[in-house]
Amino acid sequence: MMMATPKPASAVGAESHDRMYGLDVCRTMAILSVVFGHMLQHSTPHPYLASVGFMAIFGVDLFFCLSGFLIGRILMQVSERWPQEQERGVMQFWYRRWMRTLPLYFFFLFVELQIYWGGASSLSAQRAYLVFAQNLAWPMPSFYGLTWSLTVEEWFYFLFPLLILLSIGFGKTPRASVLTAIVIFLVIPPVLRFFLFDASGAFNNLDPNIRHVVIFRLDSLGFGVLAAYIYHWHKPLFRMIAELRWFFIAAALACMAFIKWDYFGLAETNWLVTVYFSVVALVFAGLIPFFSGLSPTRFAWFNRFVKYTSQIAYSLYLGHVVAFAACIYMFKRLGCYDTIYPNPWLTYPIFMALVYLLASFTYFAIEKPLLTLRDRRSKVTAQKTPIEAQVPI
Amino acid sequence: MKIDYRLLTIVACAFVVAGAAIVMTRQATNSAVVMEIIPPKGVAMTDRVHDGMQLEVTAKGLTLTLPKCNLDKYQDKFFLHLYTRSGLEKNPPAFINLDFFLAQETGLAQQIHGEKSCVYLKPLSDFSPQQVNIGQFTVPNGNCCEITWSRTYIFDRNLLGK
Repeated sequence: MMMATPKPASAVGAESHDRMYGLDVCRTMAILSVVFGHMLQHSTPHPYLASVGFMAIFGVDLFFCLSGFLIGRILMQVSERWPQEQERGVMQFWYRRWMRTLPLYFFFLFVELQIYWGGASSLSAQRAYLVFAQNLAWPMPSFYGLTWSLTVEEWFYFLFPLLILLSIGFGKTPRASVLTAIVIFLVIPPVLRFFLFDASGAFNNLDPNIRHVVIFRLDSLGFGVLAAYIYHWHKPLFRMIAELRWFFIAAALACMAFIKWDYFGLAETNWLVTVYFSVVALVFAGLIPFFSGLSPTRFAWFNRFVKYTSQIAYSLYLGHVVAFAACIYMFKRLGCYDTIYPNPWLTYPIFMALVYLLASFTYFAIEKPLLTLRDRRSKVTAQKTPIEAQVPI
Repeated sequence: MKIDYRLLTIVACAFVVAGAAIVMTRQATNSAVVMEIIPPKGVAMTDRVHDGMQLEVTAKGLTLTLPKCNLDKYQDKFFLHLYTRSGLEKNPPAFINLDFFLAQETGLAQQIHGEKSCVYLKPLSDFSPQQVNIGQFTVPNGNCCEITWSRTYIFDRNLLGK
């Protein structure tokens, strides 16, 4: 059996300066779900595969919770110094986040402008993408559509520290400020979903109008930060949640069954849309303690695969659709499109090979050198924490 | 509890800068052409395109749904260009022009969850289109044309990259 084994509950949440293997597993599951889902969309899948394609949407939910957890842990550490550092502390946090995420995003944005399947576009036509305004409070356009989730993350990176700083400005302690920001992130998005979503039957389209809109989704990361808060300040509770893993696994399966049963039915009432996204985020955040307690398997090759996939997860995320498009273009140029493309069992290995190849290239050519530069130039070296190596995006 | 006004001012400035950046980049996005692909199996692509109007398009037809049956916002002429496979092979591509005014079309009133709406159908299956361009435009001062909004739908994945 290749499954990673859970650690004893007492070991869950124990401080470690190594990568947490279980979180690598979590990230690998999340990114491969996303790649798998998009691969089905860009191919002619076998009916059995197509019938499980819906599960891919949970990859992003898992990503959000994991990201909230890891970034939340970083924020809880660094914000302790913010009463003294003030805006310099936040700027340092943003610098590190943006050096991590922006270069590769802009690289692929420029690639998409040239090779987008709907025809080449221009930066002036897509300028909202420069400031992650493409889906802030309005439907996500189809151009470079997969960036909707990165946009949610980027607004979280921007807003959450500002809320902490605002609260510190009102005289609260860093711990109380983090808690205030968590509460705001957990309460406001569902309220907006309830009052702003137009659930008048025919006018709904769940993905562009709700699921892909930043202001409606920030609570997904908020639940991840809540898990980080519990990890940081209430370790016994964190361990207790880890012991409830079967409950959360069953709840996650129930959410998946519900979506399989009637995904678009979600959009029929405001309360369902309001509650559903919060419940899914809560369930996946509840799985974080379980994941964080996993130990490596006895199969070294599998552990290496998990570690490597999670290391290049951001490159995989941004580049996989480009890799699919490159494959399809290559099939056509080589005259084998009609032979290979209709057969998913031939197409998928080629797709995956190119996805990993492209992601490895962009990781080693762009991401890694810039991260090295960032760490070299970063003045406050104390901000570099082992957790940061774990952050998926 | 001591309030740090300097810090609060900095946070407020950050919000203002972010807001200004959004406003600047959001301008004129209505005129950008957004393209969608229709999955090969003919699954409907639903899109809320302009002032709440919903557009649903399949290879069989196109459905425009107006919330509250409010035609006032949709006085401008619609362009509806259908590209067949043979039309796309021409240079420049030739299209079938089905431009129309919504006010001259017959709509079907419906009530869903107590909300009134009007549905307008445009059958497309007779033409077997490979691509559909739809939108609205005005002719300011007689100079054609200023596109208010537009969408392009591609039905055949094999057209990608062509």
